[in-house]
Amino acid sequence: MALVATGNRDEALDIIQDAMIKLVKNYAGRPEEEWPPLFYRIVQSTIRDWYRRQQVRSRVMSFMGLDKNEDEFTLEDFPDPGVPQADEAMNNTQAARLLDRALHRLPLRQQQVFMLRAWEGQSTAETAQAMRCTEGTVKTHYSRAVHTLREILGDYRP
Amino acid sequence: MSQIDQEKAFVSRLKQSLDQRLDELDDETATQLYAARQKALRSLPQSRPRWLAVGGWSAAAVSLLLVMVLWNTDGQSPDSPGFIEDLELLSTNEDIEFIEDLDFYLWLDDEQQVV
Repeated sequence: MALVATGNRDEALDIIQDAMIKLVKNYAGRPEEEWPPLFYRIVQSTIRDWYRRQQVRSRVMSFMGLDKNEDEFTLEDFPDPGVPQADEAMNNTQAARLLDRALHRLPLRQQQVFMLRAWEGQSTAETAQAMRCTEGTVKTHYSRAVHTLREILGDYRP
Repeated sequence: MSQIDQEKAFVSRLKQSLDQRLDELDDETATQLYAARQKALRSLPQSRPRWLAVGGWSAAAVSLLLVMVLWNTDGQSPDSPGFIEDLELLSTNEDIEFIEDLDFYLWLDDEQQVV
């Protein structure tokens, strides 16, 4: 989840490390069954903090004329879902890369909701708790995320 | 297939792809995650280390035993006649040989007085 959000392995590991330390320091005394939802919540807020820092950094770099968007994707990175691919046997690595890029294009909140609901199998209520928002907001974000991903990936086949 | 079913199938395929990536996690990342977990566990706040509690009680017990042994050496207690003298001997700055031969010097002194 952190890797998808940051797009950087080291940054993702730092986020997970911070989240683990926060969990142990603040909630070690809590019952064990409370640890997973607490951990999800900490990871999500740590990702949001990271994202805000990145935005500030990006603005400063842009102001100084030093911005360089190496990670920016172009439309050519995504196949047109309506047009059959020249090579139908798209391998798993390519598919995974496309999925990564598509997830990366989602607004952060939509991305987080999608990952928690679709991948981690969290319920709407659990996701709302982790995201500190209402269940209605979770449903809206999830619906928009799936809609956008379908638009980008079309009939995705891993 | 209904719209909802299509959506479910689509999400299921995405999940399958993400699961596959998790299964293929490289050794280096797995090792770093394990190290992160260990580091987090080491940061566990401890009000008082267990070894300190055990060590504290052990030290107290040893101290108590030492006091009891010293107290009962040769059946002497602080109010026994020889106890104060022994303490004076131990705390004096005189040469230990002089103290050992003290009886001889006392006898010599008596003899000289007689003569």
